[in-house]
Amino acid sequence: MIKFVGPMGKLVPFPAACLVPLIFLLFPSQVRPQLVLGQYEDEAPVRTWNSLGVELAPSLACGGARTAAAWDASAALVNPALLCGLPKLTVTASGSRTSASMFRYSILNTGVLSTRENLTEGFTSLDFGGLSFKAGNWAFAFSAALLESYGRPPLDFRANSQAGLVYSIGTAQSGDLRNFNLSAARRLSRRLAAGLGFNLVSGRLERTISENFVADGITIEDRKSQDFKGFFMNAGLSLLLSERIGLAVALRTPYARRSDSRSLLEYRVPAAGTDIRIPASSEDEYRQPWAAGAGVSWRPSGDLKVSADLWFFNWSSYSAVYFGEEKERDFTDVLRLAAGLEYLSAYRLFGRTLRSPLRVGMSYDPQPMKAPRSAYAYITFGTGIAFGRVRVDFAGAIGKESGSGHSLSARRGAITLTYVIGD
Amino acid sequence: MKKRKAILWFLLLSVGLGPPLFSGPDGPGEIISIPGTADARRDLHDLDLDLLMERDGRIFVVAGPDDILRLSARRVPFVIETGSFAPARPGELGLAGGINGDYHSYKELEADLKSLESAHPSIVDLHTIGTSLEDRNIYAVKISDNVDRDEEEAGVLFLGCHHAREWISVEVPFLLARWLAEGYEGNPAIRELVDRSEIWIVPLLNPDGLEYSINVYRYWRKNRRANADGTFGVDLNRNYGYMWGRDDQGSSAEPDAGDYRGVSAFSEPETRAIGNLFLGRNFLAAVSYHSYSQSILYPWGFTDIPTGKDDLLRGLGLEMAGLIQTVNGRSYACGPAASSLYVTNGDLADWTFGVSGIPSYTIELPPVDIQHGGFFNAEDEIEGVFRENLPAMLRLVEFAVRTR
Repeated sequence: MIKFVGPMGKLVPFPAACLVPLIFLLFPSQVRPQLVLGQYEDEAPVRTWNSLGVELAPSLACGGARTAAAWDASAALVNPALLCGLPKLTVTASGSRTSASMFRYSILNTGVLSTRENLTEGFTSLDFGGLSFKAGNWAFAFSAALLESYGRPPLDFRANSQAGLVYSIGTAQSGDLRNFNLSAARRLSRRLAAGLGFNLVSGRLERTISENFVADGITIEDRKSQDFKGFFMNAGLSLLLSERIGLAVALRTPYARRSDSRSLLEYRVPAAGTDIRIPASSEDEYRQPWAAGAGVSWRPSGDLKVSADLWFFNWSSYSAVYFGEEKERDFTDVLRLAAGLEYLSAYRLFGRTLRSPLRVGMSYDPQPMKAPRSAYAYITFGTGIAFGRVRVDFAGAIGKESGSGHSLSARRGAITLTYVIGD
Repeated sequence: MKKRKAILWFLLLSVGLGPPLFSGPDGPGEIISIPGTADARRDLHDLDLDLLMERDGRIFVVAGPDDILRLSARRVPFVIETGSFAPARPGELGLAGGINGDYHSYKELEADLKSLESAHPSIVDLHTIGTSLEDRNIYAVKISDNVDRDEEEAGVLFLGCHHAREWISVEVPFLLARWLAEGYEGNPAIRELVDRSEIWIVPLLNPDGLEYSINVYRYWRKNRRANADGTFGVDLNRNYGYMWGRDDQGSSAEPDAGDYRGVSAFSEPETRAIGNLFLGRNFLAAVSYHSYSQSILYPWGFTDIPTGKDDLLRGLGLEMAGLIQTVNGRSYACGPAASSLYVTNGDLADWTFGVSGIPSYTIELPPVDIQHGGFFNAEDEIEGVFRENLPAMLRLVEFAVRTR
């Protein structure tokens, strides 16, 4: 028997067979007291808080290690200095399919609706378009990229009696944040390069909870929307220690992500002429942390390249002001690790020589909330093919979370198309 | 005798309402309406009152405190209408806006209570009587003369927001604290009342639940206890120790239920905070504000057997209901909780009455039914609901003072 709390606080039972389309069952096993939602607060990005910018297929396949290794214009999102190491011109477009499972968000498993299983949010997006080019000792890049996504699996709970629908509650949340990057890099010497990027972010988040007491003719709707704007800079250095070993460091500045927030809470009973509205609006701010990383790239042979990253995110400085109030976000600093390996194979097909990289990687991606401590471990893989000036790369990443007690998972697949001129 | 008391409370009501919304010929005043009869017109002429308008057979005038007194002496029935002409405006009531409009969030209330204390340190003392499960402070405002000393004076306890979604129940006790503090200096009647009593006001007992109700799910009722089975919340008003868990009709043993009583009496830090506050002092009356249904309920909640003090409880309850009705015509039902609304066990009123025998009430604020808003009240109703309850609140304090 499933129950929900009626308007007088009394439980109203309904036969489980009458519930469509989702069956929510009470979760009988132990649950950690995850009172702070942490990872899936409304403003939490899907999959990870530690977003440096979209990972295209080559870097995704290498575990996301891209502070000292570059393949295309997306290098500017992490370390613009690497633009100097790219071919004379690259034009890149990339798309991806991302999914992440969630156990607790909004009204799900926080006291209103409960489920036995994790629910999965999945989305497909064209998430990067950009180009880079070199002119003498200078290199430049411009790109538009998907930085974060805020979607949640929609919930739709309905309770029927013999007379039909008596109650329903549903939620929907969607939104994303996009990053427009303009970067410049300069080769300072044969071994040293420096780069600087300017980033404008813009996005929107919308959330609705609708509740309908059919018999009483009551509709309750809670609608919230936020329009985000922000600006930050990123910079990096790259140093070739030798023909085989490169080192790099990069930095992302902290910044204020401003939000034009609006809310409307509405209670309607048309038959009684009741229409109570509580509107609100606010200029809010999310203080994003600075982040700094270091990477190494090692080429033990002409066909093999190994890259590794270590990034620090200063999440302890994060703050969220939501409708004028600073919200509790008990976050701690985290270190994200990534490493990858790329082997370039070559073979002949139809009389032409094709080059195809094989890539594998891994990463360890701790999330910033203190309770529960939570981290994803990823394995990544990918391949590609270069045919003349065109490269097509594919990659996949499978992540498993530990710490929350709910074995969350995350997956991502990407396909990237790059047109290259020059070596 | 009752008439005189009513006049006293009307006087208090009319002269002490913080910043005056209207000024009549005698200074701060109220808009009142009286029936548009020939006799009433003659009275208005005799009293030299300014006519505002006529509507629906009633005459609206601005009346100062003395005018109201004289109207009462002439037995002219009147209704105070100021609330309906001057809806609450942010800032005027000290309410802070934000995502829940003019209603208080936890932080807004915390800030307003601290401001109240710093503005009136001689009569307002803000206490932290406990912390919630999510580590928010549970505040109690003590209002009295010599406020930093516990004196042998009549204690009265006003509580709000056992249930998270009942936002109006935060505002009414908070506005009482503000009204008393701001009226103390300029109004001898308030001063006398405050000097002779120790009024404790806990406007927000369930801060975690309120925050969840504001930010996530408006209809949330309980606190935010993470129950062992994965559900959330204990109904704080089923968690007190008198007849706790007596049956499953007046509360539920099921953690997913809206009226889940918890694993034991006083299992929740919020109810323990009230328990410690109450047992450590000499309270002579207590009111717990809820919504909705416009009712004044008195013990018992756990059974329909009379308490043995029903004459007192009913008499005082009816008197409060009458005072409320006199303000704006709104009717509150009055009766024993179990037979008037539904059976409850482990609620505050049963516990305070059960352990001390003092008059204890659960007052269900407007609206009267779910069709007219249920747990929702429009922002511009906040002040009106407070004003209609104010004479009843003062009556209870006066009762405690006289009893002592």
